[in-house]
Amino acid sequence: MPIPSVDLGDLVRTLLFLLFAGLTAIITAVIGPTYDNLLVPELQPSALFPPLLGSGSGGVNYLSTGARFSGYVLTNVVDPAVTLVALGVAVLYLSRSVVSRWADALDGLLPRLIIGVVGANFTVPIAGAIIGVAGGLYPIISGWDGGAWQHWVNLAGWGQVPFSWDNGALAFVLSLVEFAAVFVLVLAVGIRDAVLAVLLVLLPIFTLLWPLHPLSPLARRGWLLFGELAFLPCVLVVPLELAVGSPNPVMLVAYLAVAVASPFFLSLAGTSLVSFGFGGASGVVQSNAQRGLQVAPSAAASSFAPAANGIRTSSPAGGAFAGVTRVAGSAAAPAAAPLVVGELIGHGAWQLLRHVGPSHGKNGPSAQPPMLKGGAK
Amino acid sequence: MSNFSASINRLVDLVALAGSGILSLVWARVALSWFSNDITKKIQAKDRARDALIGTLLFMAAVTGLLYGLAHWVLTGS
Repeated sequence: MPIPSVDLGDLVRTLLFLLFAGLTAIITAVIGPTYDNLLVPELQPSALFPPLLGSGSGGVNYLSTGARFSGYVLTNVVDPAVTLVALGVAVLYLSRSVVSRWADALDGLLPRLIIGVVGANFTVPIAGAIIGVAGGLYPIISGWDGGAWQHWVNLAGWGQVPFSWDNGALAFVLSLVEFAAVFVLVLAVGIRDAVLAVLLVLLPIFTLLWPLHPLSPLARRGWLLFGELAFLPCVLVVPLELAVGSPNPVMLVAYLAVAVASPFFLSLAGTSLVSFGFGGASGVVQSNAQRGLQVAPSAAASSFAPAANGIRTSSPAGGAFAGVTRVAGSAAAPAAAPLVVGELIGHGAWQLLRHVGPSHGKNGPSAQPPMLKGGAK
Repeated sequence: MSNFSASINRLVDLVALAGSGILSLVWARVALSWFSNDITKKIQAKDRARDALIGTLLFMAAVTGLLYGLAHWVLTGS
């Protein structure tokens, strides 16, 4: 009986598949419980938006503790400090009466003081209203598709076996990245809860300091950060929902990366969550690469500026060139290209409209310069 | 907590003392402008008097504890 020949390549491939499939299965066995038993409970509406006042149905929670602490700080720190801030504002008003050039800078101090004192005393109800709106919106968004995102199996399938067969080592690496992303998400949601509670305690102090100009950014940024953190889960859960039934691990990693970066997307709205530990992968890129990308167009703009200014006055095309250099210099390199194209198209269209424009006919004035008496010579 | 209250009270005393000096200076200047023969100073005196009045009222409300009492009443109801 002939012995069947064994192809050495197939043998090595099978061994490698078994090795990496085993490693991938081990990591997947860790990701599943991490996702299902840590992240998903953290992302439940009752955990993200517990009742702020009173025991409610959930008993003591991190926000109610923060609210009680906030009341304590309000009574013992903020209200006694009201006298001091009011005295400061009064002195500023008196100084404004003496030094007339300060009048504009110190305008509106009294209304700011009133708003600051009232706002500081009503921090917890205002924060409760923000949490209430976010807590009402979140179940709607997270409930799409029957909440299929709440099970890791729905996102990654059973052990990613089909992908492992063709891409053994890659599947292993991607599984590691998935685990890291899920773990960072768990940490991010935890940090979000902790920062919310801390802000609840500090916001009365920040709000009271709002009337004093040098300290007003504290209140503005604090409240903005509070609002963004309250609505963060509504943004964070969207990529997780879209990741259900991902065609391959690469796409799943991409969705998880977007979920991890969601605080950064929110921070584009105006504040910086990066400083609170929500940097994500984009932090390093932003601080180094973007700086380099911004330097190049600015340098180009500074090089071309004299030429552009020289041409600007000579012709419409010169104006367009000057506009293009200005726009290109004001944006980072990736954004500069479409802006330049937009500026060129816009300027071209404007020039075209000037020529085509409405026909003035017999009533309107002519766009052409008046001819000399006696016609053209 | 008593330390904090004591330090706040000390600060309030200091600012109140400094404010009293500024207060007298401000009203003296307003009075000088108000009764001046220069018509420009007379016009400016009106704005200065308004700012000085607001400052004085705020100052008095803060020093007498009216503002603190109001904020405390809003918060605790007592």
